[in-house]
Amino acid sequence: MTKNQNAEQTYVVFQSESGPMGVSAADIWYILPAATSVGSAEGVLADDVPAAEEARLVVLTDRGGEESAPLIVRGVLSMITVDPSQVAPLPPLCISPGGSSVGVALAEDRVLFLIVDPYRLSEARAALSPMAHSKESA
Amino acid sequence: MYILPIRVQRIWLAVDAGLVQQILGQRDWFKVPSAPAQWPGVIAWNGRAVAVLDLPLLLRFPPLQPGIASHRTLVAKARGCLLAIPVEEVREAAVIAEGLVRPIHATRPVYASHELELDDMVMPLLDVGLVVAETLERSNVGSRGIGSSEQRTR
Repeated sequence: MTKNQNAEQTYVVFQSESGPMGVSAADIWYILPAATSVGSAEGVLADDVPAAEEARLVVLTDRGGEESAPLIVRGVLSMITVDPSQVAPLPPLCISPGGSSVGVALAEDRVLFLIVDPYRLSEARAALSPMAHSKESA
Repeated sequence: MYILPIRVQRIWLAVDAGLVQQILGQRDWFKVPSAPAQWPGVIAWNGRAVAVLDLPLLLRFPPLQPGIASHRTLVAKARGCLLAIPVEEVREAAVIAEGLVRPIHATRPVYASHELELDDMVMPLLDVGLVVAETLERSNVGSRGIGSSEQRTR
């Protein structure tokens, strides 16, 4: 079965320090309203953890049989559906090794949100977390 | 050649007008985390995401700040890449005889190998293609990895 290239794409959009970021809904298994789950989940980032009442734990679908760390995001989540013509790849000039940004959702001459690869984002965040460092040093 | 004089902070530079696709008014740009410092974000233009060049940073001024838009944004194309250049001011394009474009001597050579005189001002001719090429070369080197046997050539 081939994927329909003309189908609308839905993203779960959350706020980050640099602005709104979107993760493809197809990559998300479920989202927990997090206050309790934040404390109990293993492998989540310890730095940059937002206030518990605002946090959401985004559990990603299994990609290639490997389990990835869930994402903690903050604030209100919104589901935004865009036409494929509104999605543009990130310019090569803005790409750096290890970056998680892959594209941009546009509306006319305005950027709606940055599209990120949630697996790379979770890896990057986990690598920065004090929890990860303490595991390495143990 | 046709050149377009632009001002960044207090510095006037010239850009090859043939590279300029459009001159936009004030335009917000969107920060991309982990992007190289000289390409800190994107603008939306004609259904594309266009990389923003932080020219103030290259000229050793304070870098661009998201949420603070410059008065004008040039959209240019070099080495097959579109780029957006936020600037304070743009003057009308001028024709410069090739002989009046001379090797850089009186101005700061930041991504410029030549300069020209216009309206009693000497201004460097910004080599936009060089800025783009250097970034692409760096990213290629980076993506090849540390163990690569290929050497960077200039």
